Amino acid sequence: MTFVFILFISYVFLANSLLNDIKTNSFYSHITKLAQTKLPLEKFFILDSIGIILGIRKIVSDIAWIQLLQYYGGHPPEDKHCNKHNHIECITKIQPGKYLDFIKYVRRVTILDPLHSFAYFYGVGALAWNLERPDEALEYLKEGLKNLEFQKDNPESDYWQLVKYQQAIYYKLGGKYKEMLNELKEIIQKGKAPNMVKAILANLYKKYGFYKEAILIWEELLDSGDPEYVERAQIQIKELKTLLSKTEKYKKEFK
Amino acid sequence: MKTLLNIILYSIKENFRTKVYLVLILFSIVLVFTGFLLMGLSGFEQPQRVLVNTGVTMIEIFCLTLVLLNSIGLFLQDVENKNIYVFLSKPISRTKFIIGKYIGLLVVIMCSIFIMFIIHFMFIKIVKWYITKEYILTLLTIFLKIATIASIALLSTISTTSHISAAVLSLLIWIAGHFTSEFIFIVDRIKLKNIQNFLKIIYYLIPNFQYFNLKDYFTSSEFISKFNLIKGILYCLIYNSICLFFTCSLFKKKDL
Repeated sequence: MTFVFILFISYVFLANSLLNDIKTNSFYSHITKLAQTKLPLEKFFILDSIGIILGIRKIVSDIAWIQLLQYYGGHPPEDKHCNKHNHIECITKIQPGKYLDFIKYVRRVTILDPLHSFAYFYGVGALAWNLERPDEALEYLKEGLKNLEFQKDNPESDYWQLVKYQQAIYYKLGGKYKEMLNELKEIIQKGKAPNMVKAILANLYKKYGFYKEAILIWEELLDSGDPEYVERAQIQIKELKTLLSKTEKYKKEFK
Repeated sequence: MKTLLNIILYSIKENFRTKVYLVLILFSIVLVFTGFLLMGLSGFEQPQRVLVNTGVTMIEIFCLTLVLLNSIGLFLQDVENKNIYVFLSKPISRTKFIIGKYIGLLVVIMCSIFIMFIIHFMFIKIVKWYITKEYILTLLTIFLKIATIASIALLSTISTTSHISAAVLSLLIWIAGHFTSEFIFIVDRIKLKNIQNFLKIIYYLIPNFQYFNLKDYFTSSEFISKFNLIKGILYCLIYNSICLFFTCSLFKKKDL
């Protein structure tokens, strides 16, 4: 009987100790946040709930991630006349005012797995530059910074990478495009940026006349073999080389 | 001690006789299909992450299936086939029988986790990826969770003597165990003290699986570094001992 009593006392003591660990570990607070967070996409409510109740959030988050890629990889639901064989404008992802549910899809991924840093990079990049909704990007970015706050002490962490995205967006809003480009360049040099962000920078380089830099990025994307960008990279490289030769010809004539 | 060892060996043999390897083969097939399917769908954006996550989740799900099928099925089968009398007619205490059965099951689970890890590791190497020490720690916590649910499954089998009700009860506790963080968050906000205290008792009765659910967070070394393994092992040991104590007490009183 004494043995059982000791067993119970030590159990309660340990259970309390685990509870304290949970309460003091900043990360567990993100898990409990689910109790007060509404899942952003009701149509996936059952799948998401299964993930939560069976303790398999990460794999459900991966499925949510694939669903996000499919949503953003497909034609914009708002654009009725885009089809499979449509022109190049439908392939490119620079489509302001479209993919209105993008933020819901990307938030769903990180609600299920708040540590999915890549989803923050991808979501913020797409919202701020491709979909031209920097306000939504900043709102989502704040969620990311809050969730990754525990990495703050490590200067190489994803938290600080996300801070760079924030700075780049503020430069964009303030019209300081050169600083914005430098910020994005640094993000890419760290090696954690999604291919989409690289394509964004290449497009921005092209827009501001830095053709050589743009070619380098598109060549890198071509070498990566990512089917999403191979075709686009080939077209862009050809186009940029023409633009570059024209500029150089013009410069020579001007001299 | 020798009799306990014999029961453990019998339990291991019995578990393997139920074609446990079929579960492992199934694991490989499901892993190949789901892992590579999801990898393919995720394109160039983090395909390896998807394979690692799928594998770890599959290991846990298959171990859970294995433990529910074997702990519930085998015991009741022993009773139905009257195999149990072979042991109980000998000078072996019922407590030793239960403990032996449980340890045998744990050995089988450990072997299964190890084999599934090898298969998963091979796939990870095929896609030229790597595993971290956090991954290994995650597998250890999966074992702790499965060991806990095994003791609960044994207890529910003895108390309900029905396949379905024992399986449902164990599964419900598995689900509730993953809800503990949210549960205590809600309980803390309840203003009625009596209800709050009652729910807190329930919180202590449910095993805290969320604390061991490292598989959902093992990508973050910062988070994993805060996890206390010794405390976790002690918690599991004590929880399982309590469950086994009740199982043995019930089994002693049971009229077979």
